[in-house]
Amino acid sequence: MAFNGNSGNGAPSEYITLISSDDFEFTVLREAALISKTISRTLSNPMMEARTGVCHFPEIRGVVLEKVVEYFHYWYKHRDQLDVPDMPIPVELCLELLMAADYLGMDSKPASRDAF
Amino acid sequence: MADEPSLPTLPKGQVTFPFGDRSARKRGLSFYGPPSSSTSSDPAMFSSDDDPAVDNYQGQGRRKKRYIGTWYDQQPALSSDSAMGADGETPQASSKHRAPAPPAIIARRQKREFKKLDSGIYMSQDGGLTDTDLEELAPNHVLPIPPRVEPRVRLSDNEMEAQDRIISCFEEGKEVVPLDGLGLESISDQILEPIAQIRPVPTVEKDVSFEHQDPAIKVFLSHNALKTVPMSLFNVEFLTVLTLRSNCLTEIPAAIGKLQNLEELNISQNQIRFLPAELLDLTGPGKKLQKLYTQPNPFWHWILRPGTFDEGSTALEIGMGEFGQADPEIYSAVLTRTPVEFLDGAQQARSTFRLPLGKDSLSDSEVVLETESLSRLEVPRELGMEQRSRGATTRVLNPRGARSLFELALHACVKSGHADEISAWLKDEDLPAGFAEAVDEAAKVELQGGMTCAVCGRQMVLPMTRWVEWHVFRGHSYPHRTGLPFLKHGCSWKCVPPLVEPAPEAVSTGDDSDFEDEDTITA
Repeated sequence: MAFNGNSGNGAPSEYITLISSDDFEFTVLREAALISKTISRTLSNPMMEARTGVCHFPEIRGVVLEKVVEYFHYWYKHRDQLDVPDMPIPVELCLELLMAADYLGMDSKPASRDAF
Repeated sequence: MADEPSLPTLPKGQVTFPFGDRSARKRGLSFYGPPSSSTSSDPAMFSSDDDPAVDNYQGQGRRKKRYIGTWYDQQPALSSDSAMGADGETPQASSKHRAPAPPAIIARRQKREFKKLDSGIYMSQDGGLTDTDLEELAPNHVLPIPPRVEPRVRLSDNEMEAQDRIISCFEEGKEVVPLDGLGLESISDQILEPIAQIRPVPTVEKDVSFEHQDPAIKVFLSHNALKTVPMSLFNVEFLTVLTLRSNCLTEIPAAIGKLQNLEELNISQNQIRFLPAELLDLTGPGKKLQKLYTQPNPFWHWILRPGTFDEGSTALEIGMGEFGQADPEIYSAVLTRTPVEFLDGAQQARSTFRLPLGKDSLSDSEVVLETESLSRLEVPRELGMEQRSRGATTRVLNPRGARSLFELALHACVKSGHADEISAWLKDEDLPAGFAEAVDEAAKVELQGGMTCAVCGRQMVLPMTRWVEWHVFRGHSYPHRTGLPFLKHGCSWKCVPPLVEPAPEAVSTGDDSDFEDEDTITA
């Protein structure tokens, strides 16, 4: 994948695995997950995650991460459309998703603030 | 029961009506127990008194009467359906008979009355339940979450008057709704709702075929003390005239764009500093808005740069002048604009220029904003970095694609109707700055009926760019030179005002109708 800066052990997989705090595993299209600045940074650095393609999120519950994963594919599907229907978000998850979105860098913030 | 001391007979007229008495004896749990006679458990025990007044028990060491078993077992003489007072006597009436009766009858009457007392409390008198009763019931009968009680809308006298007027207009099919001079500080949406349903009574004449006619509703809210425009007004599809003259308004909501049939709008004599860009959508060729009364209002001004126009016309002129003057044939052109304020997703400004939109900006003094030439655009440093680093995957630069997850979650927060609680909660926590502000801002936008991007026309939760444009209207008799400020929002950092060659001559004629270039996103 061109997105992966690290060559690692051979060609990286097309999919990556995200693991929630309660040990739910989600396998996501790598290209879709790269909308998250945090994930894309993690995968491009020479860290273990980049080699294994497995990211742990001890702060995010499984239900929330599931919604995040749903968003990844929703975003990927609509990435070049102008009029995109809103993805429904259950009210009870909206606060945690707000936190998760901020943590994962999935907001409309310019890059400079998020740079290390 | 027999070993209990019998009660002394009560003096006439002293028996109080037991149901209303809050100090009524406490009903024990045993009352709910199973019928004693048929079960193996101990028979239910309860006690009673024909007068539950508390002073019966004070200082006399008197005990309550105790009964063992079910109440109907105590009443062998009566039929089973007599629970609701088969003898038809009020307590007062029964007490009248009690005094001369022999002791056996006294005991029966007491029992009867006791039964009546219980029935009454059990049926409906929650005043008769003591707190302990409720505590005992609580685990089974009270829901864990108390149901959300809508605060009862208490209408002021002014609102009542307004309601009467609206209802009479509604009933008589009058299209003119006079709500002026009522001193209204606010008016609930619920009162205004019938306005949308007003339909004129069609005139029926012989040999004239019936034709459907759209109503032309006119609402006069002048000379009140409104601080915000009531949102339900924007649901009145056939509103043609809206007068908000002489109120305390500071903003016109963006939802004004929904009033496509509006022909006349009067917002003079308020505290308005800028107009929503959506108002511009109501003007122009083919649109219905013909008259717009805006003066006087403390609109934002801009400084005339030397050489741009003749120096004689200063911004100060705008604060004065005649009001109530018709400004016919509105057709606008942009005169000048401020630099663009660039915001991030959490509503933190990233540009050096900031619009004075905070709460502290509501002062009486005139506000003069700096302007930027229409042919240049100052962008923040981050824009270049953003372009280099992330390309097209972020909403900052690219309005295409889905909203960011942050925006979606924010939208869900706001839609939930608990935005204020959420933002209060976000303030408490040790969270990145701007969360609570973003929620507050999004809630405000939502309350005002949403926000559309002035460049690409998309719905948005929060603006990424905003700027003020001063427009002049052809045929607008006042103000000629300084124009009216319109606040515009963009949904990405690419949604910025188009760069045009400065054309001062277009100002006086207002012919430049293509100033709004729709293709700027691709630029």
